[in-house]
Amino acid sequence: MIPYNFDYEKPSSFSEAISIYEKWEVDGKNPIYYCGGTEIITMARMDQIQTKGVIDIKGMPECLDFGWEKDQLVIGAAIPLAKLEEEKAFPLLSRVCNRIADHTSRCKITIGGNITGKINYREAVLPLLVADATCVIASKTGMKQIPIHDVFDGKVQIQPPEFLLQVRVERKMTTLPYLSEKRTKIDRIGYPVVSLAAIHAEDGIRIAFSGLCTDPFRSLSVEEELNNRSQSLESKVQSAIEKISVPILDDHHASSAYRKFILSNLLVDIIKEFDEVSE
Amino acid sequence: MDVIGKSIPRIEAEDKVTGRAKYTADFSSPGMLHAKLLTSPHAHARIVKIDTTEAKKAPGVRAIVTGQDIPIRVGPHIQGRPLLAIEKVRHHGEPVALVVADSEYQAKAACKMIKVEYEAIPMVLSAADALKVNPSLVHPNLASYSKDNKVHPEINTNVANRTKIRKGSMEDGWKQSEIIVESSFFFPQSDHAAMETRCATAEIFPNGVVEILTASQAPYDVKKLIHDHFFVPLEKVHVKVPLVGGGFGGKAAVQLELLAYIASRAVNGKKVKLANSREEDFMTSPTHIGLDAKVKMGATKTGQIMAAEITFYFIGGAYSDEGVDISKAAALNCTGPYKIDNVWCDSLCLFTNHTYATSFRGYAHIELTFPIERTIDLMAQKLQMDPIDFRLKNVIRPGDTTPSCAELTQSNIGDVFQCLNRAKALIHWEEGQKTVVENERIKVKGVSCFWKTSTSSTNASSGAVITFNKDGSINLSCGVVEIGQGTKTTLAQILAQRFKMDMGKIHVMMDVNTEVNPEHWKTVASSSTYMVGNAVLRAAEDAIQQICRLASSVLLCNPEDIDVAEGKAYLKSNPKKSLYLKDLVHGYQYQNGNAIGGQVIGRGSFIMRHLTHIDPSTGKGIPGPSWTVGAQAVEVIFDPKTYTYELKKAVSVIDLGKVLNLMGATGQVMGGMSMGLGFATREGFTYNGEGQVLDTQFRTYKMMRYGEQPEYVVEFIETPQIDGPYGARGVGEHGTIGIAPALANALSLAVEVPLNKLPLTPETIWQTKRGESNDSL
Amino acid sequence: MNRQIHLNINGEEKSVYIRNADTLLTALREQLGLTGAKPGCENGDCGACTVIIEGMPQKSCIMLAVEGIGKQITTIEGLNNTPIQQAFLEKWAFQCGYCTSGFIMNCHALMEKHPDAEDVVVENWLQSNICRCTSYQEIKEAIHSVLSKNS
Ligand SMILES: Cc1cc2nc3c(=O)[nH]c(=O)nc-3n(C[C@H](O)[C@H](O)[C@H](O)COP(=O)(O)OP(=O)(O)OC[C@H]3O[C@@H](n4cnc5c(N)ncnc54)[C@H](O)[C@@H]3O)c2cc1C
Ligand code: FES
Ligand code: FES
Repeated sequence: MIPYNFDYEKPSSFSEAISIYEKWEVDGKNPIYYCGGTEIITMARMDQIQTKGVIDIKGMPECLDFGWEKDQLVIGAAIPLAKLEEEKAFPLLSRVCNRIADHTSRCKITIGGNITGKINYREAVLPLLVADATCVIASKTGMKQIPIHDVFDGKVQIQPPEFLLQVRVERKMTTLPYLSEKRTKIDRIGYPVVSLAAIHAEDGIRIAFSGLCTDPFRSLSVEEELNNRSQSLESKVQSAIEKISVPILDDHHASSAYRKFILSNLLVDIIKEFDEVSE
Repeated sequence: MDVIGKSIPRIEAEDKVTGRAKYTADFSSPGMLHAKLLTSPHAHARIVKIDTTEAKKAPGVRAIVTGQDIPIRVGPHIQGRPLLAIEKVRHHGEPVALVVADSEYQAKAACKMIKVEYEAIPMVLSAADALKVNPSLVHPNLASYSKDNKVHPEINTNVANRTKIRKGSMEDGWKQSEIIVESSFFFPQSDHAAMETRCATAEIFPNGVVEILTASQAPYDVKKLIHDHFFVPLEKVHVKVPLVGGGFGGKAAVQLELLAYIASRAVNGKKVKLANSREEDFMTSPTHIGLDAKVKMGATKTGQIMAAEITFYFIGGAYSDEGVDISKAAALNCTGPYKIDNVWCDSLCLFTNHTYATSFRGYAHIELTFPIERTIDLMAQKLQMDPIDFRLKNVIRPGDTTPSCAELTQSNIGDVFQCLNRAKALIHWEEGQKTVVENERIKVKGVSCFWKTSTSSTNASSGAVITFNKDGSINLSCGVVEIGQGTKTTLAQILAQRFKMDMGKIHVMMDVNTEVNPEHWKTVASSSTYMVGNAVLRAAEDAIQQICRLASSVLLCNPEDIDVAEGKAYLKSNPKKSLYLKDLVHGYQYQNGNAIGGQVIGRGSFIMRHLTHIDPSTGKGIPGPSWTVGAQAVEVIFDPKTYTYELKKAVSVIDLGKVLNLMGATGQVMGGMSMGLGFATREGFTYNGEGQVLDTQFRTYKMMRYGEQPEYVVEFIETPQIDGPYGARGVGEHGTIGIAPALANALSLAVEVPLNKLPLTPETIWQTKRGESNDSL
Repeated sequence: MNRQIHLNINGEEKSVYIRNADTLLTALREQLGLTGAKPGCENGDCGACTVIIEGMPQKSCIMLAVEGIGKQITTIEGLNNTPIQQAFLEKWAFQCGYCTSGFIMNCHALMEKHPDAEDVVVENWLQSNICRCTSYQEIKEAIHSVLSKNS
């Protein structure tokens, strides 16, 4: 139960959404874009976010787009993870989504909300990072397309009143060999202790991680080590882990030593499997 | 017409699959007010100041209550717990203030406007902290609390209770022991985690009647406590309990009911509802106790256990509640179902700055069984004996005595030997305890035995009343709460069996209302079937006598010549000569209009017999009417590379005297095993350095989920308990008890290091294997 | 603060007074007396509040009531003698019954969408709900009995 009230609007176009946002901001309502709403509701009930104006962005067509536009897969920000999981347009994304939260929650959690949310895991971003996805952002001047790497800083950083409308992925990225793994404290359901997604592109393995450090990341220097043909499997993995420049999490879900242990196991498996594919 | 033993579907089943079953929080009424608690963010802190000025002005707020306003202390054994913190807070989540408002969200909003100033006090966050020399004291005023004379708190320490067992001679025991093992064990506090969070509503009427609606396993305790603490005459306290969404012991503690009463009193008796959020249910309401334990055991080379020295340090939390009694029950049964003649045990319940603990499914036995059954395996290993053979050699039998020197008979203890042998067959022990399977994974098996007695009050009692409808069908009224255990269905079966009547003709009043239902001690300890079952049988007997007496004057014979069956009273010698019950139970009317007899009302009652208080210096005494015993086994596949494991199979064989409802009993045991697996594999609170509970949501407090369950196999042995209804013993808790040690025994074998800490997550196994031991003692 | 909205619940158009901040779970329980959906966590973690919206299971505690406008909402009260309810009865798939509405709604949506679902799919869906009383084996038998009947 949310201990305060707010205004609620569900505009049918992004420009309308932006003008509501601007107006409410002036009115001091601390407005918030609302997509799946799972994070907003659960944080609001714990009083971890405060807002007097909720703008539901599920009413605009761009956010509900899902399909191929020439050689680009267009995914509206409001597409629920369960749909991405089921319609395997981008198999790596389907696989990663399948492990986020639980199925019923995935019917509500959206890709837009997951990758822009405050809860650190944001696992749906992993496939987008390795696939060099493009973000479509709604702004006052219209839609703009920005490579994900240019707006991703642990989460997709967008300055309101702008917001995320879509993500787009090149077809060729969706057909590459891929792998993903997620380990939790125990069994399947739960936040990741380590979650990773990888593809095998022409230039080698690309890999992104969640649960390992505070925010999800993809690191070129880690990839470089993993793709270093001159090293043995074990030392590749070892040097890749050493290249992780941010601290590995040490919290009540897992110690950092254990996370490293899992990570090195997973990396070994991944390299081996990709080697088998490419042979 | 036999209904005993049959899998009669639970009588409230239809309501439950249609969403029509009603639980406490489902009831609301126009104008009802809502209360919300402001709880402590600190584990141990002095309250310097509480300022409610702003909050009082918040929209919808009707009253705010703080500890100062209710200077009373409550608790079942030691009365040390204020309803709202007074002077200091002793755990994260402790209630500090209560706001009553028109709606729940307004009450919650106002809570945040209350300003509380705290001053930190050194915290007691482990058994080691509690037992330090010059420790920080959770209760510096312990001496001033009133208490019953069966608990032994140690003033100026954090020891809330100490129970001693001194059986035989330790000197002799060690002398006869050629092999000795010694180890320590640990598990943190965890939770009952019933799916229904606790909830209570209270209303005070102008005539002084107090009406409480609550999700409680102990409505008669609620009644008594409202009387004791607020001086409301007993006859004016009416406590109602609808269906309860799971209890597991956690709802036997009385907490929200008293707060709801306070809340209602603060608004002139208007109806007020107080419902826990999941977070509050985890950290504000009582939890499952934690334990640090040490066991030293000696045996002969041939595998006879000669001595055991056991120390339990229960992590009882901020208030003693049932923790002190749990620690006692653990001492009294400390050896598990093994014959050991020389036993020394000190069982301490410690005050710590955690949420306070209360009864939990298995009451002390799930706790004591983990260290004992692990030690048994360690001993077997050292002796190089098969762990089952070693157990079989030492299992307790009629003629032996318990650690508290209670004598065991053919009737009051089941057959452990047979249970274990059967479990051995069901888990296919002969295949080997450890085998390597595909992908270098290891298949391992582990076993555990257990026993359990009910440790009830020595004068615990129950009553039952049966009345008849005009068509001869029966109404049963009793004080058992339906928490999912299916007791009410079983009681209907008992009644149907006695009357040789169709189950459909028996109506059991499902809700409990202390205003009309005869008292039942409380719905705990798997003892309801035994206690109320006996009361029901006596009520049936009483009614049947009345019916026979009346029928005899119509049929012109002696009452002894008559019996009842299938809705009739008939002449035994000539069953064709009969009368319909419907023509008797509301008085018999002759053709000329004259009537005799009157309504038949059957009364039955039961009181525990032969239970004794416990001698404080030796622990001698009789804690319970009988010991249900059993054996459990699990099979898992362990992956040495990832330290993950898959639960393959779990077996329970339990001697429950007589199976009254096969599916019902099987379901109880399987559910218990599932809970045991949750406890063993993933459940347990973690805390940060400030003593704040970190896992207050199911997001991180992990529970077993669909698909993670092993194959469950349940079988029963039937060694009748002579004084149980149709020979039955209780079975509600037992599936839970031995699962954790069975799993730990299996996994210890797989990783080749002793796993003596729960929960057994892949990380803790990995850490133990790496030699990182974080024992707190 | 309160406003009136219309919701289509169990095939009936209902008008409800709510706050924008009210969840669908609150609206169902407190405004419509449909208490079959239960609060178990109000945080999306347990599934006790599951209802079916446009054919898919949804946790009504992580959805605002206003989001339900214009959608077909089905609660346990809208099911009548369905195969899965019967199966829950036959297989003893509940004890206290508190998680039961949520489980049944999830199972029902699953059956309608994937009448011949394989084990992995069943598991994927049903991991969304927690039951503290049963061992899940009973629930597994219940869902399997209706799936095989259908296929
Ligand atoms: C039961 C459960 C289990 C979970 N388990 C996991 C897990 O294992 N792994 C994991 O990664 N996460 C997990 N989560 C967290 C989950 O990731 C978030 O709740 C979810 O991703 C938020 O998505 P949403 O669509 O509901 O977003 P919302 O709640 O709508 O929004 C979240 C935030 O993002 C902002 N936002 C939303 N859409 C946009 C947009 N288009 N443009 C700009 N800003 C926007 C909002 O303003 C808000 O601040 C779990 C959640 C639940 C309920
Ligand atoms: S109450 Fe909605 S998921 Fe628990
Ligand atoms: S039946 Fe009680 S929680 Fe499932």
